[in-house]
This record gives sequence, structure tokens and C-alpha cells, in this order.
Amino acid sequence: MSKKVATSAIVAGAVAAAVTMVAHTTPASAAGAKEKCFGVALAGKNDCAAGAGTTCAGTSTVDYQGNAWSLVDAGTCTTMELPGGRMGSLSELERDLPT
Amino acid sequence: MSDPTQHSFATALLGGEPAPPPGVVGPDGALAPKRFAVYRNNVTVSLIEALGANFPAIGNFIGDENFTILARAYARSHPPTSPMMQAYGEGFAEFIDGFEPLAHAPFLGDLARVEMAWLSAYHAADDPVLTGDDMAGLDEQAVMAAKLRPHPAFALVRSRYAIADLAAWRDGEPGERIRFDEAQSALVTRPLMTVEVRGLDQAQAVFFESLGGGGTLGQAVSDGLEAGGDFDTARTIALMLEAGAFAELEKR
Repeated sequence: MSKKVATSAIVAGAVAAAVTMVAHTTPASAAGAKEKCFGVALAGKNDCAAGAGTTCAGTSTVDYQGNAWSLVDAGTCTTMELPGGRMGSLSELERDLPT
Repeated sequence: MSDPTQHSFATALLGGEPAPPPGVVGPDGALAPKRFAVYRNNVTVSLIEALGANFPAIGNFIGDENFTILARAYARSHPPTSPMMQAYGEGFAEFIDGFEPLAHAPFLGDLARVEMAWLSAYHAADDPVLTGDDMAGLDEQAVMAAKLRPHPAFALVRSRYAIADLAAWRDGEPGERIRFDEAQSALVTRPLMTVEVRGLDQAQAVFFESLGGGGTLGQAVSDGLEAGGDFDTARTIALMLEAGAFAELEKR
């Protein structure tokens, strides 16, 4: 049995093909990027599951709670329009806090 | 824990006998078994809850009732060694492997290994990932000799079972049926803010093991080709870039 050995031409060709494939499926590394967006989650639907002891996911108690966040596609947070003229924010908000 | 008082307290907290250790007394000076039992129960329940948060796929798969039995047995014999509960569960996979009542589901130990890797990945450092652009400029010799530094979140869990598919149980019962006996390896990465789990076949797993272990790209491709006839080099390298398994080219 002859051992299969990768030649430099094969590997270099595969890398070139792979780079093209990735470039086509995810234009730039920013695609699929997420950002934390405050004030957009419905009550009980906020994100943040970081394992035991840190769990805050699903703990928001009012809709669009200002200090609760959701992961959203990067670049879409601050343009999000919500009922009542609310907007999403990349930092914590003072509005809609639970009483 | 050198103090004998601390030692007897800790032993009584997790031991089989719920009797309070000497010195745990009420205002009247008498032993306080009921108060101690409440505290003891709180400790155990909080450990079970921590495990449930860290191993949601195991919990969803076997159900709350069974998970509580499993987790209680583990917590009693493996108290946490660190106060950071988000890392609790070291040795849980091995414990499951040896847990008789779950012998009919031999893949659960490996699934727990994937969940442990998920936790480590979640808390790993935010290094940038190796991109196609980093590799595009290399000539043939440099590509062959390239060594890549694994991203801090990178982990590979090899298994005889379909553990990457089974990881879908983290979000509840998967819609699709899973063929448990399909050998898979799980590639765990966190390219941005979300942990991702991808299924690898045997040859791909060999490739990642070789490259992640410090081998050159040329060596890793040879190992992959050697391991399986249908190893698709370009597709696997694309998957590697997409997953963000590596952080950067190692400087020479």
C-alpha cells in the first residue's frame, strides 16, 4: 500500500479553493456577526445563557426592557424600530425598567 | 481544608448521613438537625441546578427527574473544586460513563464532553480568527509548512456516536431523528459571540487533530487523506476557516 501524501500543489490548490468558497458563502468576516442590543427583547425573551451562576436569559419582566439585551445581526440594532417610537441601543437604556 | 471543623462540616454536607456535625447548634446550645438539613438540601439543590444549566442537552435528553438523580449522585461524590459555578462539571462525563442506570445510552458521556467544551468555548478569550485573507498570500512552500495556533475556544471531541447531531438537544428535542451509531466528532468553536458545534467525519477529525496538535498543514492534509478515501481537502479547509477553529499563522 502506498502512503497518501499531500503534495504542495494539492494543498496550495485546496487552500485557494477553500478561500474562494468561504469568500462566497460569508462575504467578509463581519457576516453573521452579532451585537448586543438593549431594549428590544420581549419580556422573558432576553439573551445571556453563560452557564450556571450567570444565567440571566429570560429574566426580563417587561417588554423592551431597557437593561436587557438580545443578540441581533451586527449593524441592525440601532436601526430597529419598535412600537411606541422606541429604538434599540448598543448600551443600556433608562426606559422600560421593571418597577 | 485543614481545619477539622471545616472538614467535618463539609463531610456532613455531602455525606450519606444527614446528621449535623458537632458544634452546629441552635440558640439553646443543642444540635440543630432540622436547620442543618435545610442548609444541606439547599447546597445539593443548587449544585443540581448548576449542572442542569451547564449540561442542558443531557437534562433535556434524560428528563428532569432522571437528571436530578444523576446530578445528585455526582454532586455528592464530586463537590465543586472552584467557586465558579459556570465551570462546574469536570469529570461529569466520566461519571456518566460509569453510571449504571444510563448504560443503555452509552453516548451520553461523550455528549457531556461536548457540553463541557461548549462551556469552555463560551468563556474563552476573544481572539480574532484566522481568515481566508491570512492564507491567500502564502506560496506553495509556506502553505505546506504553515502551522496554525488554535483559537482559545477550539475543541475537538471524538466519538463513536453522533454527538454533534445530539448536541442539538441543548435546545430541546430536535425535530429530526438522529442515528446514534453514526461515528462523529464534534468541532466546537466560537468565531464571534455564539458557540458553534459542527459534525466531522473520521478523516476530518484526524485532520483537525493533527493540525490542532501542532502539525503542519501539509502533514494534516496527508493525515486526513490517509484516514479516509473521501477526504475533501478544499472543503475541510473551508470548514476550518468558516468555523474559526484557528487564531493565526504561527510566526517562525
